[in-house]
Amino acid sequence: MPGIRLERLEKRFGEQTVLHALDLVVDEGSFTVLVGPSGCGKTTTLRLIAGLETPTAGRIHIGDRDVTGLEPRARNVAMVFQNYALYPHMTVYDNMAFGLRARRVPEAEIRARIRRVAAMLGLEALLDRRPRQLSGGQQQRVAIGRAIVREPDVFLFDEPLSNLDAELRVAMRGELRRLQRRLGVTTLYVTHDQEEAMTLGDRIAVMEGGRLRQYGTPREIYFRPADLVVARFVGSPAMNLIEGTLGPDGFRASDLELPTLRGPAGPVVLGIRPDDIHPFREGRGLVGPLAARVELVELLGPRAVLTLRLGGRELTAVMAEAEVRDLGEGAGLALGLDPARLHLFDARSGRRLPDPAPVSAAAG
Amino acid sequence: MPRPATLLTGLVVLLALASVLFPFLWIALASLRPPHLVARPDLLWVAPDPANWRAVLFESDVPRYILNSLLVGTVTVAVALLVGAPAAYSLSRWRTGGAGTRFAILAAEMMPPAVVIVPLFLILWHLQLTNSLVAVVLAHLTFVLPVVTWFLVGFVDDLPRELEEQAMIDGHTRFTAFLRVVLPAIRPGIGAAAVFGFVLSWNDMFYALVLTGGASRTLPVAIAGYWTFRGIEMGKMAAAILVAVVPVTLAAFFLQKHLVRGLGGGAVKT
Repeated sequence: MPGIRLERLEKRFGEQTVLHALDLVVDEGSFTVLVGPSGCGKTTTLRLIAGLETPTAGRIHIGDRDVTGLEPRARNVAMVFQNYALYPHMTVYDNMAFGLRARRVPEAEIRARIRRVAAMLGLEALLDRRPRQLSGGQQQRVAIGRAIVREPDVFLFDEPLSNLDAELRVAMRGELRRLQRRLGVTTLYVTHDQEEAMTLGDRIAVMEGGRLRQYGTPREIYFRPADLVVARFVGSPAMNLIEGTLGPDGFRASDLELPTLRGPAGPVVLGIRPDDIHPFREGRGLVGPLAARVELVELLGPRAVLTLRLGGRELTAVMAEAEVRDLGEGAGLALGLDPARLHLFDARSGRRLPDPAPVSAAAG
Repeated sequence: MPRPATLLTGLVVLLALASVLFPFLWIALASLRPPHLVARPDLLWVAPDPANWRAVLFESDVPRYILNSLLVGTVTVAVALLVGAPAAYSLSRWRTGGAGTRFAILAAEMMPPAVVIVPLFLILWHLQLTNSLVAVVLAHLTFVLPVVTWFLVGFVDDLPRELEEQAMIDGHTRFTAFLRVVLPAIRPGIGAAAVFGFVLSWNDMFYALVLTGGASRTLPVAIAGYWTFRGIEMGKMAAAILVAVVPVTLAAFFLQKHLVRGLGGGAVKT
């Protein structure tokens, strides 16, 4: 299975540059997710690879073929659109056969392939129906089936799950992942949903403002965000970000001092994931205690989201239900931070700084 | 006992219906009366006389004019679709010619025929095409083509462009995707546009009257021809009118659903 290689890929619409010299290698057989807020260039990237847009500059390779100047039909990719783009005047069978007929695949083989894919996706009973007679979830399956039956070099997915309701979305997510594993076809998947990106991707490319911000595994993206943009975008609830300065006596913000943090001196932003804020306990190696006040407790079952006030700022924390059982709103709470999980970013460039590992975990 | 408001509504509808349908009734009755009794509305019942119908259908050139009208309408619609469907696609997808084009098409559709007829006549005369059905087709295209194009733009607008893109990824060129996916997907619109365009052509008298004569006349011109210098042959005219009205009525019946949608230019999603 060929991979995809983008070289200095650029796209301008008139005056507006929507994609700045993107370099990206999608590994053979991998499930790679392009994620970012709307307008970040992710859909444009996908459309460029499909050949639906012409790049202003740069090259696109699929396997060892340079497909930059090829028409969409010559690229041997399959795409699933957000609105599924099922041909309304054709039955499910004809929808799936359409691309194969265009490529002059013999009818007998078309029938065999469709039968196989229909069985894989549970579409056997629907083959004679028209798209408008199907539910949203069924239409989605047909769109995916139509892509699979083509046996393309590459799957391109453009937010295929966003028109489904929440429950179905989660179910389809798992199914897509299993299907892709089974078929081993290189897959590029666009979404604005960071949770979807985290659960689906072997690798995630976080884009913003037409630029690639970080490209890595879900773990790398979550635990070592490369810059503030990625840090803000990934994770729910969002990472707490505190502006301050780093000096010889550690991190200082208007109402927070963490003397044990070390790093290059200058203005920085400290990032703390809500999951890394705990009730302070001695002997656990936590940084603290920091005196905070509970403003709001939102119970999610086994876990609770806390809105805390620390001096003049608001922090979001996620704790186990057992830890907050006795906390009412307005209660005081001593916080401890997991020192190995703190993130420091340069306040000017937004880039990640070397890990702010404290000189001594026990100190503070 | 219906409520007074319902009763009033019913009464108004009845009045409206009567005012629309009464002329048809009158024409239908007139077509079945001998000439000297046509202008006698005081006689409510006259024994039906098929003489007018026989004269119109078997002893006149009316069948030929019907054929002429059918031919003109069919060719006009065929050309209008052949040109209008790709034009509509282009207008919808690329705003070809800028924002002004759609307006220009609508304006062309609404232009009074009197504005066009003189230059058109001169051009056709120089081309030695007057007194021919070709002339009528060309004249009818001046209003049928804009109508058909305008109509189809709305349908293409409603069609997600991902459909063609999918077809292009699936192995088609832009053009074959248009043929294999866009055209079939807007088939209801094409059908409605064709019927609507045909009716416009079928009903036209102005252009046909100016541009044709003798054997190349169309049905409306032939109907007007019963208004002779010796008087109006009301009975035969009535029979010919009914012949002209039947296909239009059928068309209206099939069109009612699509017409609103097409004229809305796709502005209202159904």
